[in-house]
Amino acid sequence: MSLELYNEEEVLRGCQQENRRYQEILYRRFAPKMYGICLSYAGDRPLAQDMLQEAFIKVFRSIKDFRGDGSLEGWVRRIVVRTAIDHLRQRQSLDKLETEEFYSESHTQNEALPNLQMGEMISRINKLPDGARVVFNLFAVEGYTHREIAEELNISEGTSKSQYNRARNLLKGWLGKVD
Amino acid sequence: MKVDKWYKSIVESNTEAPPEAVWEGIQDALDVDLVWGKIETDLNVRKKKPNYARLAVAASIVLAIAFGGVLLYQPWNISSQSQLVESSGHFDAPSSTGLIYPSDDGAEISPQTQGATTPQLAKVSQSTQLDAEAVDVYLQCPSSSVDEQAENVLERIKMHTAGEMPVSAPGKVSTIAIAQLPAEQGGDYDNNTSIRTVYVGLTGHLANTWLLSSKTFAGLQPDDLTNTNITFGSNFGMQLGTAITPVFKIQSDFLWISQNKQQYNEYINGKYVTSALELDYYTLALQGKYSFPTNHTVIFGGYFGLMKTAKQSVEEEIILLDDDYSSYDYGLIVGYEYPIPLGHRLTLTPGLFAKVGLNNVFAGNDYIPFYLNKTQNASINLSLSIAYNIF
Repeated sequence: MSLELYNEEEVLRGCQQENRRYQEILYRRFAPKMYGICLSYAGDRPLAQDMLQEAFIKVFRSIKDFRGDGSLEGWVRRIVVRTAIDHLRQRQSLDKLETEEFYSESHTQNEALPNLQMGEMISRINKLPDGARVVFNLFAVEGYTHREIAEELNISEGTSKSQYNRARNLLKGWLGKVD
Repeated sequence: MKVDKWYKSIVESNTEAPPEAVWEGIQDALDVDLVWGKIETDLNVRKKKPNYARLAVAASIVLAIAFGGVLLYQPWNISSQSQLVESSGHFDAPSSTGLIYPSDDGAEISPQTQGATTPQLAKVSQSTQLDAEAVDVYLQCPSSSVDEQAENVLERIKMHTAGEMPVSAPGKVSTIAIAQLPAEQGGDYDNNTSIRTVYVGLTGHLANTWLLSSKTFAGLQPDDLTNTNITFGSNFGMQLGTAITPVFKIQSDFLWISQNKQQYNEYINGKYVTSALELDYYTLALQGKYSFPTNHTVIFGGYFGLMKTAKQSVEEEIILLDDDYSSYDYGLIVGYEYPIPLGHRLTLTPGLFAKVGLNNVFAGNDYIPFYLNKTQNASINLSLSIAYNIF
C-alpha cells in the first residue's frame, strides 16, 4: 500500500466515512511517529502499544468531529499525548508527582548522544519516574510551558519545573554532558 | 537545551513500526463499534415504527368515529332544524304578513302534509330565510287559496333548488308544498335522527393468511430448503353497524374465531416435515363503508386482535408458543363488498378485503430476540355476511 498516493484530504474524508481502507492508510502513515511518542511516555513497548492502540481508536471514533483547524497530524498527536497521559494517570503513576524522589542510579557519563536511537533510548527513559518523564516530554517534545503542564497534570508550576530539571539532569548524567 | 532538542529529534524521528497486533486490535474495536452501531440503528428503527403504526391505527379509528359523529349529528343543520321546529310550532298562527288563513278544520290541509319529512322541512325552512320580500309580494295576492299558494311555493322551491330564484313562505303554505315534493330515495332513512338503519348480522371469512417473516419470504425462494405453503384460515363472528348517511356506514365486527396461519415444509431434526404456525385471536374491527350509487362499496378501517393462543404443529405434535408471540395485534383493513338486499330487512353481503398487521407479533424467546424475527400478520379474505335491519 503506497501511502503517498493518497492526499490528506482524501484520507480524512475516507476515515470520516468509516472506510476501513482509508483508516488503515491514516494509521500506517502516522503510526511510527506516534509510536515514538508513546514510547517516550510509556518507557516500555507493551504499554506504548496499548497507548497507541487506544489513541487510534479514539482518533477513528472522533474523526468526524475534525474540522480541519490545524493539521491532521497535530490533531492526532494531541489525542495520542492525551491518551498517554490518561493511561499513566489510570495507573496512578502521576499521583506521586508532587512528592516523588528520584532514586539515584549510576550514571553512564560517556555515551555518544548522536548515535543513540529510539530503541536504545527507551532503556534510559524507562529509568525516569513516570511523572518526571511526562513533564519532560511535555516540555521538551510537545513544547508546553510549565504553566500549561501544571494545568494539564494538576500540579503546581514549581513542581513542573523541578521535575523537568531533575529529569533533564538525570538524562544528561546518563548520556553525558552536551551543554 | 541541547538535551531537549536531541531528545525531541530522537522521539520524532522514530522509524520503529508498532507490531501488527496494534492495528488488528484497532480493527477489532472498530468492528465492535460497527456491530453496536447497527444494533443501535435497528433498535431505534424498531422503537419508532410501532409508534407510527399505533398512531396510524389510532388516527384512523378516531377519524372514523369523528366522521361518523359529524355525519350523525349534522351540526350544520341544527340552526335550520330549530327554525323548523319553531315554524311547525306556529303552524296555525297568523302570518306575519297579516294574511288570515281559513280555520284549521283540516279541510285546508292536504293529508299529504303528514308525510312531510324533516329534511324537506329543513330545506324549506332554510329557504324561508332567503327572501322575505318575495313572499310578501306573493302573499299580497288576496285571491290565492292555500292550495294555490302551496302549488306556487312548490314551483318556487323547485326553481330555488335549481338555483333560479329564492323562495319564501309561511309555515302552513310551506308544509303543504313540501308534502307534494317527491319522496327522497331510500325511504327507510330515519329523518329524526339522520340514522338510516341499524343492523346486526353474522359474518364469516375464508382467509388466505400470511405470517410475514424472513422465514416466510425465504421459503418463497425456489432454492431455499424451507418451502412456504399457501395457507388458509377462517374467521367467524358478528357485526353491528349503522348507516349514518345513505352512502356511508360504520360497522364493528367482533370475530371470536380469527385465525392467522402459515404452513411450511422444512427440515427439522434431519427430517423433511410439514409444520404450521397458527395464531388465534379475538378480533374487534371498526370499519367505514362507502357505497357508490351502484351499490359497490369500499371498506376501510382498523382492527385490534387479542391473542387466544399461539401454537406450532409439526407432524402430529403441537407445541404451544404463547410466550413467543405478542398478546395483541393491530392493523389496517381495506376492501370491497357488494350488498344484496334480500327482502325488506335482510342483506347478504359478499366481499373481499385485505388485513395488514402493523405490529411485530413475535415477542422473542431464549434463542431469538424479537427484533431478529420480525413477523406481521396479513391476510386476504373472502367474506360473506348476512345482516338484519333492526330499524
